[in-house]
Formats: sequence, C-alpha cells, structure tokens
Amino acid sequence: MNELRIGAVDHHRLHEHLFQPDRDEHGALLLAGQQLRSDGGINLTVREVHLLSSADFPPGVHGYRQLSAASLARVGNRAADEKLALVSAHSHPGSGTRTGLSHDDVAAHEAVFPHLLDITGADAVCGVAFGESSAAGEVWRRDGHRGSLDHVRLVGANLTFLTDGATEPTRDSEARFDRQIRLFGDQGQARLRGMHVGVIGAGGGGSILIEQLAHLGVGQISVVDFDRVQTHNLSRIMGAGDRDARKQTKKVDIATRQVRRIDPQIRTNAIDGDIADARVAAAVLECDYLFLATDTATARLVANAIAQTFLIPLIQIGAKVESRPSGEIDQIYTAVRPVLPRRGCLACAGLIDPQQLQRETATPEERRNQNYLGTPEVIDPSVTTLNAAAAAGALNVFLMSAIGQADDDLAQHRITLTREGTSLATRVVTRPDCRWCGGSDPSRFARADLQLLPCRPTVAAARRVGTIQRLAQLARRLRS
Amino acid sequence: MSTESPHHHRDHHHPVVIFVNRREIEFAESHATGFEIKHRADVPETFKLFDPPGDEVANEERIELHEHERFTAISGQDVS
Amino acid sequence: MTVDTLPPDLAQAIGELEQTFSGRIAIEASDASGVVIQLHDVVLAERWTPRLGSLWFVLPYNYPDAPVYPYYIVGATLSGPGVPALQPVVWRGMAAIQVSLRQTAWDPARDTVVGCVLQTQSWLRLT
Repeated sequence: MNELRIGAVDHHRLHEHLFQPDRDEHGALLLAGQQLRSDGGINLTVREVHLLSSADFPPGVHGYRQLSAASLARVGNRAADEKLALVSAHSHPGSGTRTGLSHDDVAAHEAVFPHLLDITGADAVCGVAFGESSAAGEVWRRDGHRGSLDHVRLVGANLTFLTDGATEPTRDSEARFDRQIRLFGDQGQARLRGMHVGVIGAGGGGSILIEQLAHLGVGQISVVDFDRVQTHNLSRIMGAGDRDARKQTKKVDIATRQVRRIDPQIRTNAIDGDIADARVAAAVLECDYLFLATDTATARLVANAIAQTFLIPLIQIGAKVESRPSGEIDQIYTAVRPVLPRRGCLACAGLIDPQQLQRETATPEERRNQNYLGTPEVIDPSVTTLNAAAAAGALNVFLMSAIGQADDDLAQHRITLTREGTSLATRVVTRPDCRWCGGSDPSRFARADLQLLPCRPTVAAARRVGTIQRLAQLARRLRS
Repeated sequence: MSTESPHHHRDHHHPVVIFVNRREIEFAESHATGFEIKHRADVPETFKLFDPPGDEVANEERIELHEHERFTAISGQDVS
Repeated sequence: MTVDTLPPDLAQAIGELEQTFSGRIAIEASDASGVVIQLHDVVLAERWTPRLGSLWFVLPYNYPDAPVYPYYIVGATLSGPGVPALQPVVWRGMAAIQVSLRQTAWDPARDTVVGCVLQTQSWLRLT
C-alpha cells in the first residue's frame, strides 16, 4: 500500500490554495518523509507545503498546466538537501468525490519523475490530483516500481481518507455490533474493523482502553508493556485476578487474553517491552492510532515524538491526586490529551519534564546518589474510577475521529476536575522552535525516521568507545 | 464632589478574591503574575496554572484578576 | 550503544564538545543510559586538592530532551566548610565529588551540554 499522509493544518492550507474561487487548476509541491512499510509500500508524510504561484504553474506542454522548471529545481534541491521525497500536487476542480489521473497527468509524470528521483535522491516521488473530496495519484520508486496511491490520509480532529472514489467503501454489519451500527452505520463499523490501534501501557488506564477497543471491534490491537501483575494492581487492571498476581502474569498477556475473550477475530500483538527501546517503538509505527497510558516522562517523550514524526494521532490519558505536604488533597483531575500534527504537542504544552527524564535515565546508583536529601519515593494514588473517566473520554475522542464526527474543539486537551465535575479545555500554543512539531529546519516533524526518535538504541552493551578522533570523524560524517 | 474616577480607584486598590483549586486567595491589587498567584496559593512554581477559559498563565505573565475567578493549578504529571 | 548506533543528537553534541574543549574530551564508555564523557584538566578553586581535576558526566541517550545532570569531579578532594551542591559519592566504581548544579528551566530547543559544561567549569573555578 502507498499512502500520502498530511496533517489537517497543512491540508487546510493546501486545499485553500488548490480550490480557489476562480475554479482553475492550481498546483503545489510537497516535501515528505518516507516510511517504508512492512507490506513493501511507502508512507509519504508531508513536512513542507510549497504553494505554487501562477508563474510556477503555467500552461503546459503535456496538459492544461505544468510545473515550472524553476520551481521543480528550487524545491527539488531542497528535497535533496533535506533528504525528503517530492510530491507534486494539483487540483481537479469540480471532481467532487471522484477523481483520477488524466492521460496528460501520467505523461507529465513519465517526462519528469525519473529526473526528480535523480535530483532528490529519494526513495520515491509521487504525483497526486485532488478533487474537492477525493484524491488519486501514483508513486514512483527508486527500484523502478510504479504503483497507485491508495489514499491520502488527513490526520486531524477527524481521521479522513481521500480516495479516487472508484471503489465502494466496505461495510461491516456483524450482529454483535448492531447497536453501535445504529450510530455510525456499517461503513463506520468497517472503518473500525480496518484499524490498527496501539495502546502503550496495559495498566489501570490501558487495560480499560484495550477492553473497550475490543468491544468497539477494531481489527488489530498492539499492546506495549514490560510489567507484570502484582497484588496492588488487582483493583485496577481489567481481566486480572488473584491467580495472575500469584503467577505475576505479564500485563500484555492479560490484555491478549481479554481481547480474545471479547472478540476472537481481533488480532492482538503483545509487545513485551519498553516504548523507550527503539525495537519496541518500531513495532507501533504502522498503527493508525495510538493511546498512551503510562507513568513516565520517557514514554511521553517517545510517544509524542512518534505522533509528530510519523503523523500518527495519539491520545495521552492520566489521572492525578495533587496533595500538599500536610497530606491535604489539593486537586483531583483526569486528563485526556489528543496529540495531532502541529497541534497539542506534549512538548509545546510543557508536559515532558526534563528533570524527570534525567531521573529516569539514571542508574540505580546515580538515583541513590542524587537523593542525598533522603526524600522518600512518592507512590501516586491510582483509582479505577479515575482511570475509567480518562479512558472513556479518550475513547470517545477516538471514536468520533474514526467515524468522522469530531468537532475541531474535540481535539483540545481536556482536564476534568473530579470533585467539581467541571471540565477545562486547555489551549496548547505551538512553539515554532519545537524539536518535534515546529516549522524550523532542525524540527523532526514528519521526517518518518526511526533514527530520529529519542529512543534507547538497540545495542545496549557497555564498551570502551575509543579516542576523540574516531568520534570526531563520526560527528563530521553525520553532520555532512 | 470627588473628581477621582471610581473605576480608577477600583483598578489599583480594591482587593480581589480569587480561587485556586477551590482555595480562596485575596489579592490587594487587581493584577498579578502567574508566579505571584502560585506563590500566594502555595502551589509549586512548576505547576501549570490555567485561567477559567483554559489558557495557561505563565509565571512571568501579568494578568488582570476578576472577583471570584476560579483558577486551576495542576502538576501535569498525571499517571495511568 | 556502540559508536555505529550513536543517535544523531549525541553525535552532534560530542562533536561540539570536541570543538569547544579541543584535546580535553575523552569518551569513556557507553551503555543504556548514554555516553560517559570525561573533560580533563578542569581548574578548581583553592578548596580543592589538587587544583586540577577531571569533570565526568553522562550524556543521556535522549539528550537534549533530557539534560546533563549531575557532574562528577574525579581525582580531587575538597576541604573547608561543606557546600550543599558538592557531595562525596561512589560513582561507577570511582570515588568522586558529585556536582549538583541543576539548571532550573532546561529548554531542549535552546540549551546545550557545551553551555552547561562551561557554566559548571566556571563555577568550579570559583567555589
């Protein structure tokens, strides 16, 4: 499968340019990260949108309009410098929900794409034609393979797929889903069945998410956790019992068992590990949606990075009882925080504590040495009803997004004050210099590169590295 | 008849009562920074302070306080 | 973590350290925490014996999102009244003085290990 993936913020800007009141064709060049898929296809994740003026999209030789040589050279060179793939986009005004590449479009690709692959050095180049609510395209690969673009994925408050409109959408009308199909129809159910959802953390909050996703009927669930059930978990983990605590069953195994019991048709991937490890992070990069239900700053950092680097929508959930030193409770709240491309970034929101990150990377000896004031370790209260409230909020955001019923405001971070029964929608101001979602060159946004995730590298053996000269050479090589 | 505007008098010297996490705090003046609000409410400066509409008030940001406004202060370090 | 799998941010930081402290940087080890680095010939204040020591630190694998903290002086001892930020510890099998100068508002988009090491070096020259 070949996919073009774009954040809703960038797509809105692109759409406004492509479909202007003059009802003429307009063009743009996009620069995209390249994620090779396990099925041999490629995901192109849009990082930059270069809107072309009329001068750069003049009347064409092969068709109605063509990209100017100057714009191809300018943007193509930038693609080469930034190691990104180039996507040419233009509009077919009036196509509505059905469009396709014309003979002239294909001829233009044949004339230009081999040169673009040479200029950019990328794995792929793509050409896409947009209708108002449709898209059709093709992807040329460096290995000579040419394939059609299966869809354009818009990642925003709603998860939307633009296709050429030629194929009837699939439907799923299993009797078990009768009551929910009455809400979102058999197409909506088929959409859920076609989704691969990742849940990072299978504890109190995560186990509720997993159980409910199984009831909803998503097609595939990947569960990440490295921990085992203990007695104190039994008040919170769905599906866990006394025997599991005695045996110290892995939390991912509890989750797998629970899903199988609810719906054996769902494929469950139990990933026994830490999302901070590159191997584990790699295992969730083909998810359509991610949930984060963990306790560490490290997991927040990695999950947020995945969301912004690979354009995968993420929802972080949590609950907290804030107490004063006297023991008096100051605040009880639950949090539901959607993270979308260039929106809701946990780093921009100041929700990834650098000091906690440092503590989590420290060795046990270093942690003991740093705790010289003798401050006792604090264990946070954790209550199933708080976890359930957060999980329910997140699941409804996910469901509305999946079936295309989400208002834009649903994508805001939401804090619910448990004692007051009130909710606060908190606004996140995107930082232009953010390492993950910002618009500056050093930002990792949409680069779709596993090496750029802040993960613990795969090989963890300690060894003496050597002299400064070897490292200086390596640093120079990586900078060039 | 006083020539001093009552509005001008209220801006600078009228005490204002606000709530931070349901805790009543009185300010002598109608403006304060995020840091000052947290300090008065005995909330760590690393906490996030939100005004009623949901905008975060930064430590160095000076805002106008309104009578009985309800602020929320949380660590943001929630767990699951 | 081997040299060949060094994350780009760490490779860049090590290059910047090498450029700033030319000839005085040595990479001692790497493990799941990050890369252990030694800065030689750090001038220390009068309370230290000798007046020249080595500054060690771990560049964490998720730098710059995680800051470098703390630092360790190896090969020198302290005399005089105690300083809260300086504590004798055993670290990675070495007797060391832990230097706990925490940067209160670490910003990964702006702050660098070079800046922090320079600040720490200056502080140690005076304290």
